[in-house]
Amino acid sequence: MVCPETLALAGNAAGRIGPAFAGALAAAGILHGLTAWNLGRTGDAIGRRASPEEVLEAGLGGAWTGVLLAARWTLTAGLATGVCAGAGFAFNEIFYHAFPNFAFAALIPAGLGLLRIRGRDLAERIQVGAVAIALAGLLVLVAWALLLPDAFAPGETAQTTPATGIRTCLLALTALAGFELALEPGEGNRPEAFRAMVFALAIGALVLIAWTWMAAAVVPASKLAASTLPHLLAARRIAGPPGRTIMGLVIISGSVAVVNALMAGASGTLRRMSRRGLLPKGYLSEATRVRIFEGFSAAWILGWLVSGMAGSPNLEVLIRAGWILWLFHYGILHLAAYRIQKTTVEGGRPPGLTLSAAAAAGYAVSSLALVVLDPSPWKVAAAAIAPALLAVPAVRGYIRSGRGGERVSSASP
Amino acid sequence: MRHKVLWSFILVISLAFFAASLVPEVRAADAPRMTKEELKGMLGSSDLIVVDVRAGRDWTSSEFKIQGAVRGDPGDVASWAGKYDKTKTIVLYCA
Repeated sequence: MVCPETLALAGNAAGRIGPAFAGALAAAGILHGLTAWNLGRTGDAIGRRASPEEVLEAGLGGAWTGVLLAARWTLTAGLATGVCAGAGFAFNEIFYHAFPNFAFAALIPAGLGLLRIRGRDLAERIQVGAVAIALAGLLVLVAWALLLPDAFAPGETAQTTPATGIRTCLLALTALAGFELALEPGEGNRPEAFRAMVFALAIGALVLIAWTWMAAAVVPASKLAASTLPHLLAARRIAGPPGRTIMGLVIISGSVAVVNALMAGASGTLRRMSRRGLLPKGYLSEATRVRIFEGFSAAWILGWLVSGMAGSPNLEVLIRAGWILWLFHYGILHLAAYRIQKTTVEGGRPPGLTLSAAAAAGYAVSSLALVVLDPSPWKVAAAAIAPALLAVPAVRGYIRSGRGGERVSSASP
Repeated sequence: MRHKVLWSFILVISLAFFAASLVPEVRAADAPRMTKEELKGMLGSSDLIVVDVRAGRDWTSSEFKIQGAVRGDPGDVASWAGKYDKTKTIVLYCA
């Protein structure tokens, strides 16, 4: 996700470990690319372009979709609240001082929620526009930096411990996570949705790598590592006030894009799970349920904003927990894919089975390492485990009650 | 029945953990306050110490701070509370 959160992460990381973070991003891109490939391949094995919910249900059982539900709603609560708050400050401090930052922050989920309730087409067009503005802004700044006469060669890094270095490398996985949200517009049914997912991952990785390299080349490492807004620091260093304005646009458009994508993912998971009998349908028509879920995802973010969570240090815990849960769900997605491939492909061992197992283990170990190396490991562990422990038994209990009716077959839309 | 009890127990424990991880810190409600106009009039005085104790995104997302303000982490007051001269006017701002 190219958003202020990942730009800050990349900037701090560039300060801590220098351009080595670009290498970490490339490695993360390869692992996530494997996930995208496996998701597409497993979809083919069960007869259609499958969504993550279907892969989890077909491979491990419906209850495991609870992990996906927990990951998406936890990260939506934390990250969307955080980026909305950041966009509010960017608008207030860069563009219009008289406009309250909180009002602008609240406008993003409220506006997107209204658009999504009316129909997702316009929200999807806004998504394309917002992503294009964010990427174009970053590329303009990267190109501008290339023209600077006094950019120094990246190489210097702030002093860090080996544990911080390892954690920083692992955080590259979170910077590129969420690429599968590109499946949401077509709900994974269209072949082009899968191409969009791979394209989103590749473009996101390349732009972040270029930005990390450039930030490390124009701002001293110690400043990058210590700043809470390293991307604004780099933009000001590259182009002065125009650079700050461009970065302001990147922050706001990136925030709109990431909130829209998270809302699509959160509501989409509820929609597909209720359609498949994994969550209650409530005797409502599909169209009404869609509107309720879209409205609920906007209200969810607004609720966290209004509760003052953006001003709480616990928001960072919630975001880190959401990322870790998200990475963990990629791991179990590979595990589900492994089981599906093993049972559905006839005539010997299907190709890529070892890669599936290795990727599942890689995500599990990375998630665990991110918990252990976190500044508040117990808090993060609690905030990551608790939503999953709530969601999995809830979904399992609903399935067992039989109220969801007969399972919808994997091959049906 | 035993399964229901077990899952209910897990559910309650999970809720408690989740709530505990998100409980905000206790804040003093009766600290003396001043308006921004009052503070503006005092800026530049050697008897004034302004401490920026904004938390969370209020701190990390803002480019600006009050002129001459020093940073104080609101989650770790003990580490900086003793550093400042108590005879001076110490102003803490959090938004």
